[in-house]
Amino acid sequence: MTTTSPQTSDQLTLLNTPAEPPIFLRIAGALGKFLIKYPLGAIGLFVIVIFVLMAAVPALFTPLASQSSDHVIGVHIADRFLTPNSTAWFGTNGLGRDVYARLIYGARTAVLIGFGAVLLGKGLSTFLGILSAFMGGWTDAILQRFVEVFQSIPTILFLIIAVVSFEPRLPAIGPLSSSMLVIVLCVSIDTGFQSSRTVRGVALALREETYVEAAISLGASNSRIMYQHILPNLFQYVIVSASLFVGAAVLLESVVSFLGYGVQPPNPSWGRELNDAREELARYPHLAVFPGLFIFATVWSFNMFGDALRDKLDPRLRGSN
Amino acid sequence: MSNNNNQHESTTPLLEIKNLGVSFFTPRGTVRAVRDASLTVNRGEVVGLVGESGCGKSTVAYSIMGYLPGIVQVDGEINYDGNNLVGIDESELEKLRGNRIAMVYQDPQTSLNPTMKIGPQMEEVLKAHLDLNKAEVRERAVELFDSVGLASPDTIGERYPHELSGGMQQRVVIALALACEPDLLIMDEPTTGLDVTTEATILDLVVDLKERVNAGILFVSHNLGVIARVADRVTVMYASQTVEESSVSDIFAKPQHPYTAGLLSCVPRPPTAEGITPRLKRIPGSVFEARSEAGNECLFAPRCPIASTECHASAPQFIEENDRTVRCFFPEKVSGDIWGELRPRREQEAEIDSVVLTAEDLNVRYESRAGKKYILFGEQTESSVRAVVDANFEVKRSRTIGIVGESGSGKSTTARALIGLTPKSSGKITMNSDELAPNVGNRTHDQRADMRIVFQNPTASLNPKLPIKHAIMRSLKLFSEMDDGEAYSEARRLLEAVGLNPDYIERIPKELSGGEQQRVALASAFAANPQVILADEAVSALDVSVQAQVLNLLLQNQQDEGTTFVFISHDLGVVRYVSDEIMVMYAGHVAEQGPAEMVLAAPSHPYTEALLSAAPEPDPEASPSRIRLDGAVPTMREKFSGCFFAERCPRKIGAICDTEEPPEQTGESSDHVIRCHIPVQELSISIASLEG
Repeated sequence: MTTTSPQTSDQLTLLNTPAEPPIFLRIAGALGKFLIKYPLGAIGLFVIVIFVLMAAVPALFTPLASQSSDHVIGVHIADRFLTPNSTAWFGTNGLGRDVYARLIYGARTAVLIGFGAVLLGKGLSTFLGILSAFMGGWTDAILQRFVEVFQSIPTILFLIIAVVSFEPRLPAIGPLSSSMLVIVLCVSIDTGFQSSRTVRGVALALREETYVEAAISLGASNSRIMYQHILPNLFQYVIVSASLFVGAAVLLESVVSFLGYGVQPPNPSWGRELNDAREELARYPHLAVFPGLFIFATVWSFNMFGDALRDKLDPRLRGSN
Repeated sequence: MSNNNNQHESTTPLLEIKNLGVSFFTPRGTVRAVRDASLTVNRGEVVGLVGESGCGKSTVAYSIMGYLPGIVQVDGEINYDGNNLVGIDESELEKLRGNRIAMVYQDPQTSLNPTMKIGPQMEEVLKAHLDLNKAEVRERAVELFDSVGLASPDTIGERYPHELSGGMQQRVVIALALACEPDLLIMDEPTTGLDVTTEATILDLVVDLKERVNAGILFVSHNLGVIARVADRVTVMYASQTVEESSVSDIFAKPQHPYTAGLLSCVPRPPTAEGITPRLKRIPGSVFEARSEAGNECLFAPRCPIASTECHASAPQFIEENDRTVRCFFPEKVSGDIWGELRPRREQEAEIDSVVLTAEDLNVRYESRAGKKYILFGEQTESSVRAVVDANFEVKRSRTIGIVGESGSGKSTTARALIGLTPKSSGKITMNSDELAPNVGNRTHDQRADMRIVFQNPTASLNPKLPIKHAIMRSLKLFSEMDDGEAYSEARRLLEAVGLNPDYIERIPKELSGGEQQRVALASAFAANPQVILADEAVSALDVSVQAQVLNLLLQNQQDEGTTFVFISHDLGVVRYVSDEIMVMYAGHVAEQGPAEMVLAAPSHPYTEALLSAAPEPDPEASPSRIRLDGAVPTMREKFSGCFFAERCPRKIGAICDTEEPPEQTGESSDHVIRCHIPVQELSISIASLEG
């Protein structure tokens, strides 16, 4: 016996269904519930919103009007290595650039790479995973061998090689410099293949669901089943893993930039700031502390938000990673 | 098992629960899981606690053990041997649990540690509670395994839980519970997950234990048939209250609470002496929600056919009168008739014209490559599995064929082959003289429209992300070529036809109960106006009152539209109720088939006989015949000789059963087929009467 509550009758009691409130109220209500139930996730979401604002409208946070402002990319030897003060809040670096302003402008790099890689990567993994699950046979076998290849290549190494070999050949697209583009593409491909295996597993399990069989018995085509039945039920899984992955992508960019292969100077990047701070770390620790805090805050907030989202959308995944 | 020397023989009952109330405090508000429950259990008796899901019966059982999760408030008294257990220390409870009070749960698989052998698990329990040395522990373990009827008790300890069948696992669990000779044994739906033949053997064990062990047993079950077989006294729960308590014969013969009477009339019964199968009755309305605050009224009044103003003005108490206790103001008015008069199952017999669905030599194999496990090394793997072997049947318009058998008998595979979800390997499926392709994808649009399926699990058969209108409107748009607007209004009409509020149309499945979800599944099956509906255990997951409603809906649809049903169930009572023809399957083979009344009467296949004698009847006077099957349905491999049932057959006649395929014999008429070596004349004499 399942735990169905035996309500009902042949002429069922006519329950009053209350009128639906307008959509914005429902969203606000859902958001409010989320805040109360997952306070850490809510803080995460708050920090994420700040970072996204920082990336979109940096002028809100710093009086320096644009990324090409003098104090962001200019050289001011006289003002180098200033400790935090009232004009340069986080001090200045070895070239006399305002660390605070550079971090604010670096947010754009981080957010673009983080979101870009996740959108492309998770999109790719969903596509490949469903393809693999539904085509089966040779398609599945070949795709899965590719997945294994990507799983066996260290991501950092892959990124460095890719940046070195492709960066000069790629154009900059809008706000994405060519090196950022390479990073976004490579991180996407890497995670796209790697996490397609889990998507495939989930899709295979969903394909066995009775409602999918019910659809098959109606004569539904493969594409219809994927679109109507598999994708919506896969969505929550993908959303959760995507939100958790943004932090990881930001971290990857920082690592590659720190190693000197990522975003090229004078463009600001948090990882690059850390690299710049390296030589004078003993004397001017603030140069490393502030970018470190920014990276930490981003990764932490995405993790907290992702955890909360996971608990909300799919309680079965709780405690797993 | 040693005797407890009657040291506790006194007037105080072993367990006395008085006005128990259990409230859970959840983030969504307080849930009154138990409002007012009272019951007693004496030594040496089995008390059945019966009710539909959500009525609080399990919570009562768990509160005796003190296993209540979360923030909970318990009121009232749970007197065990005269001591109130409510509010006592956890450490005090610990001394009782497992030692004096033991519990057997529904699913034996989760009660046993899968990584430990049976023996050590038993020894662990014995060492924890009894002061015995190693040899004594061993000896006691063997004794216990023997006492629950496990074959080869001295070697079974060496086996892991997964090596045992479900029935054997449950026996082990019962042996574990008996380890310390408890005074009180609580069994929470101990047979619900088991096959009917296994269930029967476990119920025999419970009855046997009652006689051997001087313990009180509280037996919780939703199944009235099971309760009728094991219980001495019965307590009925409704909406988190106990509503009636009486001896088992009184409960079934003359129920005094309208709910009990209603429940009983929802259970399919054998045909009456005049040969009429009475139509199931129904209980209108819905169960009083555990979340709601009870006013000062009878909680059953909104659904009660004999409720008067008094019932809405004050709440009846649980009052004892003439040996029975009932929570009703008018127990004397209660009879079976209050739920409507007896009507025949079908209003009029439909005219049978044409054969709608035929299967000829239907075979389904699950192919797997024979060979070594790791290509070159490892053990030899078996060849393909034969899930359905040479099934032949035909169903006429407006008729129902019931397929019955234990799990693994191939009945669901038959349905899946018919609709083309699992392609047949050979044979012919014909619908309206069109031969159907093995795969549903290769069938024509009309063929798909004419055969629909309803699955067992209503929750799983609806896409959780889509509103329920989707499932219904999809069929309508596909098969009736309606536009969105027409389909929408037709879908609302269909919802109403299956007894649901048409405004439910925008809801997602999660917002409906299991019974409501199953009606949505029915509505979407009806939407295509099909000629054939396959019901694959379609009512098995539902409570009896909901089951009765769904069965009535199916019959109504059959009568109005002339639909043909293939009705698959492990529940013989339900199959008997709906079917005109019955096919009994075992391990993929058809053991017996023919008109329902002929299959159910002698002569019958030994397997049919065993199934019939295992099925629990909701009638305590029914003498349980003693044909019992051990073990489980085997898997049929390709290289197989002899009779499919030989391994478990209680009437096996000799070597011929192991070597030769059983012949097809005909019973009373040519359409009654029995596959058995035993001559029909001999099969007419039941094994029970043979044994005297």
